Amino acid sequence: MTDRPVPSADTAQQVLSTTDQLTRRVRQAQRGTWFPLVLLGVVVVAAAPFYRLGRHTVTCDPVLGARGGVQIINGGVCVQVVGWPAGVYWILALVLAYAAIAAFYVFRARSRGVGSRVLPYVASGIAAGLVFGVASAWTQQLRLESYSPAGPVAVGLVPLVAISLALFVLARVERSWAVLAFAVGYLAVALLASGIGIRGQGVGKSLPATWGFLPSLLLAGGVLLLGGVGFALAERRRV
Amino acid sequence: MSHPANGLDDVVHQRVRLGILTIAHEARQVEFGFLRATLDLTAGNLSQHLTVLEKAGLVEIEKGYAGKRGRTWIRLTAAGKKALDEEISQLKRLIRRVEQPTPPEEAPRAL
Repeated sequence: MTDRPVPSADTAQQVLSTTDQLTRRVRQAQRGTWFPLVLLGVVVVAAAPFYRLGRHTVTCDPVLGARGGVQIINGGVCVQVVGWPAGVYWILALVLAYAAIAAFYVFRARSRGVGSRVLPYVASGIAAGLVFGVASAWTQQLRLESYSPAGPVAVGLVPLVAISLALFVLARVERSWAVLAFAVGYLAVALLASGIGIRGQGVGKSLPATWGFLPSLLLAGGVLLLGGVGFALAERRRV
Repeated sequence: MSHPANGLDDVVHQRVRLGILTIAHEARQVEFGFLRATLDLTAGNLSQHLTVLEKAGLVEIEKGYAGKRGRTWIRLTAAGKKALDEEISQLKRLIRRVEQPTPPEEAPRAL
């Protein structure tokens, strides 16, 4: 037993308050949400040429789907959609993007002198990207048509949802309510863009049928980019 | 039931050392310079506290280089995490004990 004075409840409260402040300072130093959002926003927008690559105007043929590729009819035009160009793009782009995100956080840890537990975010991002990428590229072969959105715009856009799932892990890793709120908002946008499409609601009606996916990509990518800019400004204000 | 103050570890309870453990717990690893700036300490003072924590097995200290610049990284050990959790729970118990009315036989005697 020591002869030290017994701390009062006030002192204990002060000590706990100080530890809370220190915890908040560490979390602020660890945060770098802007980078994944900006990078993934660019990845989403850059997917457009690969979606176009897998869409061809064809003569309407009811058995075309059985010969490889989903047939969609849009404004009286039949478009054959082949999923693999966009699917392969998503798999490669998301793996590379999350590798870059991991490198960013490692560099940031070294420069700021404080590490972060970003591995769960990177791992979940790659896992979700692979699963959703494979599912969108080879929907028919995997017999997933009944689970996959099949509107005139939505075919092959489910990888947009994969990004939102990983954002929930990022919110947990960064212990940030703001990131959680953004993840919920982006999930709603991604479901809208990949589930029912926005062309049917009047947006992008002037686009050719083979470019019908573009408003969805621009919407999801734009939300990520704007979110990234917003978080960058907020983080700069706190420093 | 013992008074919560008896559960406080002198090595951990000291303010600066508690601060070091808190920061190391929140970050996977933390650099000496970040600790010094955040806790507003001199290098010598921080080194002394780190030595105490390292000898108690609560932190691991790893020295390395980033280019030509020497850098020291501090990590919390499993024993350090346990000690920190215990300290925080004892402090919370202490606060609860004062806030809640206690039976006469458990009330702390005035010194």
